[in-house]
Amino acid sequence: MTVLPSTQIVIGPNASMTARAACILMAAASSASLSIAALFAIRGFWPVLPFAGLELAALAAAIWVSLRRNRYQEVIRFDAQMLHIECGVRGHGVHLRIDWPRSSTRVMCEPPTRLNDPIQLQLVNAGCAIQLAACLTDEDKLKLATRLRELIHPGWISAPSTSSRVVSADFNI
Amino acid sequence: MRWIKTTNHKDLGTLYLWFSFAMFFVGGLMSLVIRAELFQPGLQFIDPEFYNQMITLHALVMIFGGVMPAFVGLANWMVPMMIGCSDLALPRVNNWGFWILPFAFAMLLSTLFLPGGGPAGGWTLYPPLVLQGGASFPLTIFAIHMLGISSITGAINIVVTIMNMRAPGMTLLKMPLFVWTWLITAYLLIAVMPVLAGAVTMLLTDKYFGTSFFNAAGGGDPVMFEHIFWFFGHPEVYIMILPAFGIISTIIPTFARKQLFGYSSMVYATASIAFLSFIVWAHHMFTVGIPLAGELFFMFSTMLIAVPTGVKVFNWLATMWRGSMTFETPMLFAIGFVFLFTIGGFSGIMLALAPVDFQYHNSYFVVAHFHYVLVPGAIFSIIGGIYYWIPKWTGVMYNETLGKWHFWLSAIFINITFFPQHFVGLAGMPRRIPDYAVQFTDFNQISTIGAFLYFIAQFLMVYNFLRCALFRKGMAPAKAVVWEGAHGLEWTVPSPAPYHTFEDPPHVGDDETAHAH
Repeated sequence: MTVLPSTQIVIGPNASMTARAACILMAAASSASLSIAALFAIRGFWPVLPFAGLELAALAAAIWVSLRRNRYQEVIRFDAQMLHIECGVRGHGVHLRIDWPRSSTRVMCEPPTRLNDPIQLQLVNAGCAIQLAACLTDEDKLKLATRLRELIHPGWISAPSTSSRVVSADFNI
Repeated sequence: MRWIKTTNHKDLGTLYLWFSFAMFFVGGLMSLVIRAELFQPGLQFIDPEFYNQMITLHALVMIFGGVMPAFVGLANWMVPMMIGCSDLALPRVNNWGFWILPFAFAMLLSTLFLPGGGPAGGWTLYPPLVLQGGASFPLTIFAIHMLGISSITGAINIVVTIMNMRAPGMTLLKMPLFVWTWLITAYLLIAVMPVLAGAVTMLLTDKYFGTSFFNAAGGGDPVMFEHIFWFFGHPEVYIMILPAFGIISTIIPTFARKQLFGYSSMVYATASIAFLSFIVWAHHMFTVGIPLAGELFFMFSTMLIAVPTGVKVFNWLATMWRGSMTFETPMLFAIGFVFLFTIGGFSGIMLALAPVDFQYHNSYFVVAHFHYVLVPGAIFSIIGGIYYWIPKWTGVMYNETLGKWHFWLSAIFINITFFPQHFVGLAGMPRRIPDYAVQFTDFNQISTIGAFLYFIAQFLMVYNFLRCALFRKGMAPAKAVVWEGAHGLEWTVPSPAPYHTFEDPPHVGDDETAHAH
C-alpha cells in the first residue's frame, strides 16, 4: 500500500519478480529438466519426458498466477469533491473506472462469513459497492480502512443527511 | 478443522515438523529392529525377508518422511519471515502438498500388513529384484508418486515465493543463506523429480504392462535403471543436505557474533555443489562395469565436489575464528554438524576413488559414510535449527540444560553407533545382510548399544520441544531478538511470531544485509 503526497493511494501486491526475471527462471528450469528428460527419451526411456513436461507446466502456471497477481492495481485518487477509483492490470489499461462524490461514499469492512475467510473492504456509494484491497492481509485492510475514512471524512461531514450513516459505517469496522 | 484447512505458512510448517517427528520415530524404531537383529551373528528376532523390509522402509521413511518434510517445515516457517512476506505464494497448494504426505505414508506403511509384507528390494528399487515383490510393489510406486507430487508442490511454491515476494530492497544477494540454499534445493527438486517419477513408472509398466525398459529378456537394460535412479538419487542427497548448510550458516554467525565469512562464496559454492550433483551419479555404481574413461570422469567429478564443500567448511571455521563465541544448544549442534559432517565428507572422498571403491562397495563402510552425512549432518542441522527458532515460534525459551544434555548424549551415541561401522565395513562386512561372520560381533554390539542409547536420548528433545509447544505455563518468555547476535527480518517481529507476520512489507536498506550476520 503506497500513499502518495497527492492523496493518491495505490494498492497492489508486493512483487520482486519482473516478467523478464520470470522468463529467465522458466528458461533455467526448463533447460535443465527438458535436457535431462530428452536425453533419457533419446535412449528409449521416454516416460521421464511427460513427467518433466507436467512439472514444468505446473511451475509455469504458478509463475503465471503469481505474475498476474503482481500486475493488478487499484488506484484511489481524491480531489476536493470527488473520489476516483481505477482498477486494472498494469500494461492492459483500466478495466474499471468509478467517480463518486466524496460526500456520499462510505468505507465498509465486512467481517468474514466463514472462519478463516478474509475481511472484505468495500467502498459504498448510493447502493453500489466496490470491493478493494483483496491482496492485503486483514490487518492491512483495517489500516487502509482507517486511512480511507480519514481521507473521505472531510468531504461528507458537511452533508448532514448522511451523518447517521457515519455511525453505522464505523460500527462495521 | 483449522489444522486441516489451514493455508497459513506457520500452521503448515508446524504440521510438516510434527509429521516429520512422527516419521523419525517410526523410522527410528525400524532402525532399532535392524540393530537388534545385528546385535549377534545368526538370526535372532526376525527372518531375513522382514529384515529386508525394515531396511527398505527405514530408508524410505527417513528420507521422504523424516528429513525432507522437516526441511520443508522449516522452509514453511522461516522463508516467508526471512524474506519479509506474509505467506507463501500459493497457500492452498501448500496445504494440498502437506496433506498428500500422511496418505502416502499410510499407504506405504500399510504394505507391511499385506501378504508378502512390505517392499524389500531396498530404497533404490533395483530391478529385477524389486519386480519380484508381492502386492506391496504397486502401492510403493503409488506412494512414491504421491511423495513426488508433494515435494514438487513444495518446491514450486518456494521458488515462486522467493523470486516474487521478497520485501522491497531485498536483492538476491541480500537473502539469508537458508533462503538461498532452499532456492537451489527447490531447483534441484524440480530438475530431478520427473526422473524418479519416470523411473518408477517404467518399473510399473515392466511388471504389469509387458514393457521391457529394464527387462534384459525383452531387450531392456537393468543397468540403465541404476543410471536413471542415481541420476535422481545423487541430487537427492544434496536436496537433503543443502538446506542443512543454510541452517548452519545461519546459526554459526549468530553465536560467533560475527558476519558470515564469505557470504557470496557460500552462495556460489552451494550453486556449484548443485551443478556437480548432476554429473557424479555413477560413483554409486563403479562396480557395475562402466568403461574406464567413465570411471575416471565420475571419480574426478566426485572429488571436485570437495572443493565447494571445503569452501563452506572453511568459511564456517573462519566465521568462528576470533568470534565472541558462546555455546548454546543450537551452536553446539552446529559445531557438531561441522565436525561430524566433515568426517562423512572424508569417507566420501575415500569412496569417490574408483579403485578403492571396489573394496568398499556394498560394505558397512558405505553405511557409516552416508549415516555420518545424514544423521549428524542433516538431522543435527534440523535439530539445531529447531532449537534456534523455537523461541521465535512459541514465544518461550526451551530448557537450555536439557538441550545441552541432549546434544552431548546425541553426539556421543551417534559416534558409538556409526564409527565402528567403518571398521567392520573395511574388514569386509556387507550391508543389507541380517547375519554376519562372528569376527564382526564386538563392533556390531557397540553399534547396537549406541543406536538404542541415541534413540532414548532423543526423548530429551521431545520433552523439551513439547514443553515449548504445548505446556508453556511458567516458562521464561522469549524476547523478539532471542539471540544476542541474531540478525534478519525474522527477529524484527515479536516472539511468538504473529499469525500474519508482516503487516507492512519491511524494507531492507542498501547498507543492510538481511543474511546472517
